[in-house]
Amino acid sequence: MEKRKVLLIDDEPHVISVLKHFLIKSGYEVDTASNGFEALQKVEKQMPDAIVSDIQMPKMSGLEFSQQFRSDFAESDSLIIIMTSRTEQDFRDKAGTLENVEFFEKPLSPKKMVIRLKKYFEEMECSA
Amino acid sequence: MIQEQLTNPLVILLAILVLVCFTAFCWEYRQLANVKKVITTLLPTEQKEKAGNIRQMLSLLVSHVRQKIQASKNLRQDAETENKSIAYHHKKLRAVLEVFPEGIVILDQAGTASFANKKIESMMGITCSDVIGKQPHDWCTNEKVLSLLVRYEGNVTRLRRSETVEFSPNDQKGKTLAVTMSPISLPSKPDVTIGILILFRDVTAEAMAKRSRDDFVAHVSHELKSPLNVIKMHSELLQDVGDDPQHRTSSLNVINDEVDRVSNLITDLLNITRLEVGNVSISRKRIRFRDFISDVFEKMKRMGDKNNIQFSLNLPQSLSHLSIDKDLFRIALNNILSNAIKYNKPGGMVTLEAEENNDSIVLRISDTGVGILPEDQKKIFEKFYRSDDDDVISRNGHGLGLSLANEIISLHSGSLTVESEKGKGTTFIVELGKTSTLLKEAV
Repeated sequence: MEKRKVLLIDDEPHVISVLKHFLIKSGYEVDTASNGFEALQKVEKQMPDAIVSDIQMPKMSGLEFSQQFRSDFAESDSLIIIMTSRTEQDFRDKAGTLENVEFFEKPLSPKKMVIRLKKYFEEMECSA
Repeated sequence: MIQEQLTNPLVILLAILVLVCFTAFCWEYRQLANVKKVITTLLPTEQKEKAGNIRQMLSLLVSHVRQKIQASKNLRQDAETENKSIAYHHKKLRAVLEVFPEGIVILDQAGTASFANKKIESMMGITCSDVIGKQPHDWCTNEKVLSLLVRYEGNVTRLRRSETVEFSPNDQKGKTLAVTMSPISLPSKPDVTIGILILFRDVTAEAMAKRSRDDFVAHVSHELKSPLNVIKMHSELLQDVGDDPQHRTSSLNVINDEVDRVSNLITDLLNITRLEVGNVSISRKRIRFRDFISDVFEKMKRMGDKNNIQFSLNLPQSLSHLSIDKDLFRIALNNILSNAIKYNKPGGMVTLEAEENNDSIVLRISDTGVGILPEDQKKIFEKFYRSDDDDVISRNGHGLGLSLANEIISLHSGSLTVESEKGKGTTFIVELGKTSTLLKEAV
């Protein structure tokens, strides 16, 4: 069976390296981007099954990316998980209007993130 | 004989005449009594008893009427004076409403504007004559305000309590105005709404302060949570990788660096907050400025040695003593010097030069680093500002160091400026007035 693809977007390399470790270990194919702008270029080449993104990033934030992604690739139903803190309510409110977007609160547990993705992909397979 | 006389027509005529006269007299007498009765009713009670014959009565009546006429004249004069006073107060009230610093429109019971002051012209871009005598939908062009106003158009009694909305005028998007509608009622009938007072206030400054406070909280929260996030992730990674030495060392280093990062951030935040709220007591002491600078520079040099940076300190033989807060000034210089190291290129150079003239001492801290983009040069002293430039993103930082340095130098009545060329390097110039520091000391 083909590996599920996850795109990680964060300007913090230490976050990327840890999440990448756990995702690869769980059998996913991982691609990374350091901001929303770079991520849009990546999804054009290869559509991921799920996207895990930070919210505040230089050049293009996670919110701007999610909005742009949902409008440019309306046919895609990829899950978007946004890593954010509770105080960024403004971002949450705006991103919350988009479809299939979930929030993970910082500081976040990479293991819990992997469990959530696993469950999501299982549900996808059941419904398919 | 008598019979003859009685039949004499002359006598008969005379008798008839006497009878007529008597009857007329009686009739007149009765009329007179009626007249007296009428006059009595016209007279005031206390004078009724004084009245004797009709002449006296008439005289009393005339004087009473004269008194009444005089009283009425007085009353008219009072009324005129009162009218003038009311008109004056009305004008005064209008003048007060005109000079009121906020825009005012008053709606009558039917929702028609009965008053508008000049202030609304600059606030809403409409003239008073556009408003007065018209309904809100005729003069209000802002949709947000109109949706509030039209709810009460034609029936102002529906407005029971004040309502406020904030909006940006159509032609001035950077401005924030607040419009408040309050029901007007008379003190004697507080439940009856007789009109609406519409108040337009410019709340741009408050809105900006609130935004800046919210931004500050969001920034602080993000800057604090980011290192904590990395620490938590790497601690989970350490649990997962077990004894793998490569992963262990790398994760422990990351955790160590992130703890330093969060600790530095907290120190900077505390300092900047204390400075901003004026809660910091500056303990100025007259110090040997030359020795102080050498000391700060040497300590920084040790930190920079790890990064293979060259250092050059170029001070005149002697420098005047200055009165400064040593601890605070050390933070400012450290922040500028650590930036010169952090944003340098491998093998680059950091130079500190000092120069003294009649009025001031000027420090120039130069590096041969990545430089600052022209558009960023204006913003680098703002709190939490970090450029989108790749050379900046690739280095850690929370955008407080230069803001703090600038605050501290301003507190010493000095100035901090920057000269930079992208790709070639940056020079920060600190200018400290000799007189101002001495004067402050005297105070």
